[in-house]
Amino acid sequence: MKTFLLLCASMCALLLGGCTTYPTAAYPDSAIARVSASDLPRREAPLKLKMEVQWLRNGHAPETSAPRLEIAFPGPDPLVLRNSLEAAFRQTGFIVISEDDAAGTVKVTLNDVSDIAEAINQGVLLGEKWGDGYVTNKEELTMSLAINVGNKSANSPTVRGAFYSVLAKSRLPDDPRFQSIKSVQEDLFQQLVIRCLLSLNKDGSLQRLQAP
Amino acid sequence: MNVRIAIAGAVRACAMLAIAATMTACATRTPLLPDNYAGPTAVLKDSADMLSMSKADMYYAANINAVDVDNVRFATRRASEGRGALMLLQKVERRIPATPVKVEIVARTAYAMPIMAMTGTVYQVKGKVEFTPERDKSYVVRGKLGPSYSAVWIEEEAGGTMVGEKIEVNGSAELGFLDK
Repeated sequence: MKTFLLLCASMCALLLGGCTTYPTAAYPDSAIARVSASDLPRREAPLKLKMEVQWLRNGHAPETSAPRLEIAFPGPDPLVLRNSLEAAFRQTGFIVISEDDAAGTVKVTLNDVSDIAEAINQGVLLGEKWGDGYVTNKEELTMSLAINVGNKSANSPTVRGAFYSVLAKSRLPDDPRFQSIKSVQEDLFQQLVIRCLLSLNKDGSLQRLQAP
Repeated sequence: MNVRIAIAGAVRACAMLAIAATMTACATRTPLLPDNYAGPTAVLKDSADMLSMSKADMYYAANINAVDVDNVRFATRRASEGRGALMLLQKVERRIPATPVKVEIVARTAYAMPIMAMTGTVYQVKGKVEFTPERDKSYVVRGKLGPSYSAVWIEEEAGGTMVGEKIEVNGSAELGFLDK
């Protein structure tokens, strides 16, 4: 009986080993200067806009389902992405996303330009390495905004940003810069939104949108 | 007696053939530049667009000055062997002499597994390009593959200026089943 229980426990341990999650962390790319929402012009009430989101990988819309046998690229969850962008706009205090009483639309184009081939190679090498270890990958994104209010429109230039994600086999190294991937990604979205709006403000497009 | 001699002869012949056939796998690739080459050089890189984790459009040099060279397609195939549908795309570059060169360049759809290529669409366009690389400059093989237009060319990595001529196919460059 004892042998049987031991065998069952060993089997469970082996099978459940595949369910373990890898510890992850992220930190922002310090090479890019930070911007603040306080640099944007003040508005009495934020501009209410509907939001459309387009996610691209290296400029192409990713295939939602890869043909038989092929492995599709992992993509972001549309709802999570939308929520993160809504929060990014809300925190600017300049635009809020609203589906009901929107004065216009904002189309957000996010292009993932990360070197995914390098990330796959690093992941495979880590998996094959004996013992513990971790890999760091640079995740790069570009963002542009196209805002339409009534018959007026404004298109921002494409701005670029990045963060570093870290994945370990069992334990992450001690690094004071480490935060959760979600918070670093949300911070990057906010920085990109502010930079797009600052560009629109600089060329006078924001003022034109607000004019009666 | 004669039968025994004939069998022994056949066995010997088979053994020699088998050894010769086996040893061909040990043949080394002719280096493009000799180890002691001290002349001016430039760098030629291959490139690729990953379309999924199992498929990529690859743009590479297959042959330089009549010497077959290793490239992104072969390096990726070696790295991806035994990994199922996961393609491990490799980065490949090589030194080339900074003298007039003739390069056979190829743009081709590649898959992680041969069965995928058999059942999937493979586009290919290739041709020879002549140009004179400048010393210490980097060049990249670039391309585009699609159902109505395909092309492959070489450009300077820094400025994106095309060198030599562009190899183009207007219309479909899809390979037939037996050409894949």
